[in-house]
Amino acid sequence: MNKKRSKFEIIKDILEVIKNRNGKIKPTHILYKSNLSYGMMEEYLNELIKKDFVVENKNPKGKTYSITDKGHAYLDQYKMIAEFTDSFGLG
Amino acid sequence: MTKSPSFMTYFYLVPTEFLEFSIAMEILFAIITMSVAFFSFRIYRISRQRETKLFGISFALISISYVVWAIVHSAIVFPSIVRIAQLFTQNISRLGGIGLLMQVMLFISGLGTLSYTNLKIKSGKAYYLIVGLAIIAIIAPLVVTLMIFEPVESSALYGLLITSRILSVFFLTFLIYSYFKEYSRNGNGKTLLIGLAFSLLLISSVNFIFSLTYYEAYIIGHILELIAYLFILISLILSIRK
Repeated sequence: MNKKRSKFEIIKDILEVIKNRNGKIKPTHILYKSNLSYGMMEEYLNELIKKDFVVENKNPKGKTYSITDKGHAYLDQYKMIAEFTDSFGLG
Repeated sequence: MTKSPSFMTYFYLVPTEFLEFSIAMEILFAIITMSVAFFSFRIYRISRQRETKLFGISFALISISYVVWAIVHSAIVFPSIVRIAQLFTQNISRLGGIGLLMQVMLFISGLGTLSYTNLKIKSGKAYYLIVGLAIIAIIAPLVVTLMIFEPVESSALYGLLITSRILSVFFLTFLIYSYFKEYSRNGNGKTLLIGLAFSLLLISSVNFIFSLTYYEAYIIGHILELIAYLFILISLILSIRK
C-alpha cells in the first residue's frame, strides 16, 4: 500500500502535472494525474490560486490552469521544503 | 563589580556567580531559536503554508523570550543598564519583575503556538483557548499575590516561575508525544532528534524547579537546554543542506 501523501507532496504533484503540460492543463487532466477526488482537487486548486502558485485561464472551451513563477520556485525548492516540514513534523 | 541589590531581590534562582554563564547561554539559545524561526519564515515565503509560518512564530517568540531574559540578567551584571532604565522609571525592582513576566509569557506563548501547530488543525478559536488559558494561568496567581502583598513579595515571583515551569512541562509533554508519534509514522531520524530535544527541555524544566534549593540544578538545567537546542540546530542544518 502506498504511504499517505502529505499536503506538501500533493501540492508538488499538482504543480508538476501542470508544469509537464507546458503550463496549460484542463482540470480533468489534473484530476486524472494527481490522483485526488474532485472535491479535494478543487480545494487544492483554489488554495494554489489564492497563493499565486497557479492561475486560472477562462476561455470558451472551458478552464485551464497554468503555473506561475512562484509555483516554479516551489518546485525548485521542494526538496528543502519537504525535508524541513517532514523533520519538524509540519507535513 | 557592583550589583544593584534592589534588583537582585528578584533573582531567585540564578546564583550570582553563574550570571555571566547564564547570559551567554541565553544569548546562544536566542540565536539558535531565531535561526529556526528565520528558516521557517524563509520556507513559508516559498511554500505559503501556514504551518511553517506558525512554526516560525513559535520559535521567534521563544527566541525573544531568551533575549528579554538575557537583558534582565545583564542588568544585574552591568549596572549601566540599570542606570539607563532609571531614566524612565525609579522603580527598577518592578521593571525587573515586568521583564521576568514578559520572558515567561513569551516563552509559554511560543510553546503554546508550537503545540497548536502540532495539533494540525485550522482553528483560530482553538489557538485563542490554548494560548489565552496559558497566559491566564501565569497572570492570575500573580495578580492575586499582588493584591495581597504590596510591595511585591518575592513569593509572587517564585509562584510565577513555578507556574511557568509547570506550564512548560505540560506543553513539552504534548510536544514530545507529537514528535515521537510523528517519528513512528515517518521514520525520519531528524524528527527523532527533535523529540529527544524536547525531552531534554522537559527534564531541564523539571530540574529548574529544584534550583530553588539546589544551585547545581540551575547549571545542569542550562546544560541540558544547550544540548536540546543543539539537537534542534543539527536537525535544522541536516534539513536545509543541499
